[in-house]
Parts: sequence; C-alpha cells; structure tokens
Amino acid sequence: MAKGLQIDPAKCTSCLQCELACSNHHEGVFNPALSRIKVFEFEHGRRSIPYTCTQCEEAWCLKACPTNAISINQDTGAKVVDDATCVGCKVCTIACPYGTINYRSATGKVVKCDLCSGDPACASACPTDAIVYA
Amino acid sequence: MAWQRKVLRINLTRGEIHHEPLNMEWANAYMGSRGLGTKYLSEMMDPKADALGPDNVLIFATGPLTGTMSSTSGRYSVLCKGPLTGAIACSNSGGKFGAELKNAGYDLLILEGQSPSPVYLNIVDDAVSLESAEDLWGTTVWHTEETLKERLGDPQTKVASVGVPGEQGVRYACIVNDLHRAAGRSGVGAVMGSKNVKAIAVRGTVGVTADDPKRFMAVVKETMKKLADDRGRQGMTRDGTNAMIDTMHAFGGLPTRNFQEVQFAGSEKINPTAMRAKNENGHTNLINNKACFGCSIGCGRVAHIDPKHFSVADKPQYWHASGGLEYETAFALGPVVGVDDIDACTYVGFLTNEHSIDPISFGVTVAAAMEMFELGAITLEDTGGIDLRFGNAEALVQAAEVTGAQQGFGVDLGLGSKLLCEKYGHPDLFMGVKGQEFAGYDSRALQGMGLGYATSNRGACHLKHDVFSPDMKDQSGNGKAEPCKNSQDEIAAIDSTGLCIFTAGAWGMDDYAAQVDAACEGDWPTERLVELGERTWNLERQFNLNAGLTAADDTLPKRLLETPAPSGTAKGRVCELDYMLKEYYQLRGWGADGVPTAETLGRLGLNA
Amino acid sequence: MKISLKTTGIMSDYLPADASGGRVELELPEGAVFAQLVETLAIPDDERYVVSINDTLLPEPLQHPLQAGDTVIIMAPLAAG
Repeated sequence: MAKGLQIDPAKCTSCLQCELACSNHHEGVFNPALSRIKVFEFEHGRRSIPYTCTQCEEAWCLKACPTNAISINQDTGAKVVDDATCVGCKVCTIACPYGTINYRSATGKVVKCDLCSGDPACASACPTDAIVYA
Repeated sequence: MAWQRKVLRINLTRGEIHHEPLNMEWANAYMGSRGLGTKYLSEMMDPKADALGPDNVLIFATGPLTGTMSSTSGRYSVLCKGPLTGAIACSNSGGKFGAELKNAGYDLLILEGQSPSPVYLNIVDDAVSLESAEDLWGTTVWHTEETLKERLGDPQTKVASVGVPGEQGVRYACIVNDLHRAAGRSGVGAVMGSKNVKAIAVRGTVGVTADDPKRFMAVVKETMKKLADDRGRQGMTRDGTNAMIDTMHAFGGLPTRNFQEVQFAGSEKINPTAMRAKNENGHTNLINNKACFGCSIGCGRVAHIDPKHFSVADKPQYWHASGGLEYETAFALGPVVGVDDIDACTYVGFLTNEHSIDPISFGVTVAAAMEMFELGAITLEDTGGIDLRFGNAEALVQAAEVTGAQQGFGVDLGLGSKLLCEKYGHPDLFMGVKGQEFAGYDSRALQGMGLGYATSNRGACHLKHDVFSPDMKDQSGNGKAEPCKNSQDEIAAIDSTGLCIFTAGAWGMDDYAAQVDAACEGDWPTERLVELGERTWNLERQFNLNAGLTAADDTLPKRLLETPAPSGTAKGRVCELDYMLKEYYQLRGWGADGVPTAETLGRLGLNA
Repeated sequence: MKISLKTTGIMSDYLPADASGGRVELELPEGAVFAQLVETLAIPDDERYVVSINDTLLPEPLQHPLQAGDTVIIMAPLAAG
C-alpha cells in the first residue's frame, strides 16, 4: 500500500510548522495562507487538528475534472494537478467532499496536496510527529 | 526579504491611516521588534508624557524572523511608556497574532493619539480601517475575540484586545492575543485602553521570505535540531515552564507569602506532576501542550478546571479548556499568596487572560494586600468582605473577580502593589522595582537575578537577563555583574530578532546570527547582534533617564536587602546589591550616577 | 546506608521506577561519594544539573562524601520563564 500522511491530532501543538513548510516548498514563501495543509484549533487549543487531502481512492476531484488536469502520481499515489492543463473551472472543488482542493484567484488555478513527490515537507517539519509520512 | 519594509501608522485622534516605508537606517541599527520599536518610540514621543494620555505612543513591533520558519518565530513586542513604572514598557508576546501582523505586510504598527470614541482596528493585508467598538466596550477579551472573528467572517483572523481593566486604566493591564497569550507586563493594556482602542484584528496573506532561502532553510534545520536535542528544552516540552516551581522550592528561591519566605510546601500541589494527576473526582487538570507560532518547543499548556471545584461549580461557562499554569502564573497565584489549590490557580489564571491583567503583578499585589490584611492595615470593610488571609483560595478567586470587573476592592487592587502599599501605609511591603512587581525568583537566593531586577529598564523583570547558571553555582554576588550585563545585551538582541528567548541555553549568539544573516539583507555577524543589543539597552536607559528616573530607582525593597532568607540553600543571605551595582555601572560604561558616559554613547552611535 | 533522594524537572528521568513524587530512599555503600550516586542512577556525564545536600549547595559535588540520612536534591537547571 502506498505511504500516506498519518495524522495524530493528540500530538499536534498547533505550531504551524507544517503550514510554513508547505507554503515554502510550493510557493517559496513562508505564508500559512498559501498552505495546502491547515491546522484547525478547537476550544482554546484543547484539540488542534492538521487537515489536508487524504489522497482518497474515490478521487472525486480527478473524476470531475473536465480537462483531465488531475492525474495520479504512480510513485506516491498522490492526485496531482497539472497547472498547464487546469482551466480553473472549480468543478473539482465542488466534487471533493473534504474541501481539500481549493481555487486560488491569484493564479486562476486549483491547488491541493501532492505529497511533495514523496517527501512531504509538512511531515519533515513537524516537531512532534503529529504528521508522519508512512 | 525578512523585513516587509512597511510601517502602518494610525493617528487615532484624527482617524488617519498611513502606510509608510520602514526606516531602513534604523532597521540596520536596531534590527526589529524590541530594538527597532524602542528607536521609533524614542524618536516619536517625549518620555515625560503622561503614560495614559494621548501623547504616549503604542507600538506593535515584529522582528525580521517573525513569521519565518525559524523555531519560535511567533514573537512580537509592544512598546510604549508604561503606566505601572513611568519607564519604558517593552512587553513581548507569542501566540499567532505577531506572525499574522507580519504576514499582513507590516514590520511595525504604530498607534498615536487618542480615539474620540471606542474603536477596533481591522487589518486585512493592505485594507485597514477603524471601526466602532461601542458594542464591545465593557466586555471581556474572550467575548471580544470571539465576536470579532464571527463579525469579520474569517476564522483565521487573529485578535489582540483588552478587557475592562485595560479600558479603566488598571496599571498592570495587559494586551491579550489568541485568547491566552499576553504582552503581559508594565500595563501596556492600560495604554491601549486609554487610546480607546478595544482590539486589533488582523488577517495576513502576504507572507514572509528570506534573503537567502536555501541557506536559511539549512540553518533552520540545524538550529531546530539543537533545540530538540537540548535537555533544558526537552524539560520545557515535557513539563512546561512550571517545572521550575520544584527547582525553586528545593533551592529556596521561591517567593512565598509576599517574599516573607522562600520555600512553599504546597508547591507540590500545583506543580507539573499535580497538573497531570487525577484528583478525587477523577479530574485531570492538564489536557495537552500548546505551541506559539512556529515553535518546536511548545512550553504552553492547555488545562481545564474541575467542574466540581467551588470556583466554577455554578459557572459552566468556565468548564472549557484554556491556557493552563505556567511557572509565573503558578508562582503568582500560588506560593506568593500562599495558595496551593490547583483549580483556584487555574481559574484565576483563566480570569487574568479573560480580563487582560498581568498575573504576576496581580498576584504580587494581592500578596501585599494579604500581608497588610494580616497586619490589620487593610480591613474586611476595605475589602468588601473578602477575607484576604494568606492561603485563602476563595479570597484569591474573589480578588480576581473584582479586579477583572473593576468593582469594589478590585479598584484598589488595580493600583498595583506600590500604590496600594502607599495607600495603606506600608510602602516597604511593595515587592518590586520601579513600580513593577517581581517575578517568581527571590534575589537573596539568586543574586544575579537581584541585580537584573534592579537594573531592568521596564522595572522588576526576570526575562531581560539570564544569570541562572552562575547564580546556581555560587550564591554570593561576586562575579554576577558581568554575566548580568552581557546577558542583558544578548537578550535585547534576541528579542529584536522576533524569536523567543526560551531558545537561549540551547542556542548561542552564533545560532541567532546565522538565522538573521541568512534571512536578512546585509551581513549580520554575531558581534553586530550583540552590539545592537547593547545599543538597545542604552537607548532604553536614556528613555528612562529622560522620563525622570535616576540611579536611585535601581534598587530593591528593604526586605531583600536586609532580612536574611529564612530557609533553603541561601539561608541567612541577603541580596548583595550594593557592590554588584557599582561593578555593573562600570562594566556598562556608565558613571556612578547611572548615566551612560559620552564615550559609551559615542561607541554605540547614540546621541547624548 | 540510606539516603533520601529528590529530583526536580527533567532530572526525574533518572529516578528508579519505584520513585514517587520525584522522591526515593536509596541504599548506598557506607562511605559512598556523590559520584557513586550518579553512577547508580546512570546520569550521563554531559547532563547539567545542580546539587544540594541537606540544603547546602555543592558547586562541585562529585567527590562529596555522603552520609546516612542525607537529603540529596538533584535539580534541573533553570531557564528563563
């Protein structure tokens, strides 16, 4: 079975190193607003939960895309958006039941977690092993 | 660019909002956060101005590393003249607010003047507006933060605000961001309230970059590993800062019952072990660990109060989780008031966050009130029926409730310990320096700490120097002036980077310099950082001297100078401030009058 | 001989499993010095800590002779907070 991001909210301290690492890896800037993984915090920090694409088998985004801009990376199993093909129609964002593929008005394209081609920056950056790639 | 090169300046009197370029000449000399904020403050205001008047200036300053991937990059400083001290106030906070402000594209936010009516500031990147806060005035920090997030429609909005004590000029009101992080000391919250600013809401999506991204990430990886491998940091992760309560009790430096004693047997009931233990109702205080933005240490705690405890039994609104005990909160709501009730301490800790009061100053003020109550100088009539005996957890709870609401005896408690002790005829029972209350370390057991307290530019403070190591090796004042002076300069530099000083110990100055050098334009060798720290320290000193403070303010209460420690490893000792201070002035290049010499100022590029 | 040992903070990592509340009674050979306690507890050489014995601070504790009934406290060093 392909490796995936194993997330253990009990270990998450909400430090946002994952968001910083994600935006740095993909956009070359430290900017949680551009991160493809998002930490949600509940009840004054009782629970903090990192949330991103699960690379689900159903692949709703991929099936919904009218331009075939989303494909499966054979090495990692990640569903990956091809920027050159994406026309920004947002159908995938409606199809995805998890809300983990998102439209960016600045680029006119959608973005989602691509597992950083097999070396996810979020997992490497997490100081508490709340996110592990295994 | 690690700097955004942009300042947001708001004239509250006229309701004007200006974007202006960051003064890079100053940024090169003072870097950011504490140093750069001090420079702007010194240039913008007369230090003699009324701290609670329109001529005080309130600055929120991020550092070049704030918002980057450096560990602990969530820090920002708040600068102004402090109402508690009449000296410069420089209060540092974590959480996520500072990084959000930086991400919105600003190095500094400057508030001038005084709004004619209550407002909040709404910042979404470049879009900035002042909005009416009439409906929020008179409400708590927690209500304000929740309301603004809902109103503004973006749950990622970060909020810094004040409660009623900030609005009403409580001299140790703080500014609370992210529900339970605070720019805690010297009354910066009262300054915000005096300007009729209830809250600042900020959402930032601009981002931060490093000058040399590849090298920066290599340095980040290396320094992050040093933190992870350091035993002291591992202790902070595991136990939080409250681990120190056991060490200070064992050492005999844990201020107890308004510094009458230096050890507190009840500390075991409020220490990290007690936080993790199940009580007789099967309730456990501690829930989990919480980090500030970017921090790989995560010393913060999330806790909850036993719903059966007297403090909250009829208040389900306090049964949720929130910020748990840190060492200073535990000290100030525990030993120094003689209370060993973990739920009462946690509840009062919640209240200090909810109402924006500094738990250190509050607890030490209550401690002085308790001592005067036991002496008969303060009566039940004065307190409105609160039985302010040491160790009375119910009295502590009542004191916090009336201080938070600014009702009854809470108005007196809002004066701070110094004015309260003067009002009730016992000025010697004020335990602090320059009007600001001590933190949880006794200067008779930790001599270098005593010198640091006496010389700290914001009044008694444990965070502006680090002499712990020498202090725990040798309990005399010998050789303490030099590590005190050097660590003051180093910490001023660390504070100016935008990182947290809890990294010190694991990181040397070279580690900070390497991160700054990779993130910032120009060359940032270690010596430049240390010199910048010394320049900042002297500029703060100049602010205070111009405000009217003198060498006579660099002193400690008689209790610490004359009454020997009654127990512990320093039993029989007093604080040997006199000779430490003389040596310190010499090392600083100051005259015997505590004034920097022309030569010292010249060397640091400061004007006389 | 029996001594009473207490640790604070992260130094509790080195306490025997039967310790509670950071405290334990330990049996050491007569005439033992502090270094033998360090060895018994397997505290690594590079660990930093502060030692007091019967409320006296010992900057160089290793060769300090222990006596029956001593109260030894091994403290984690302080850091600002």
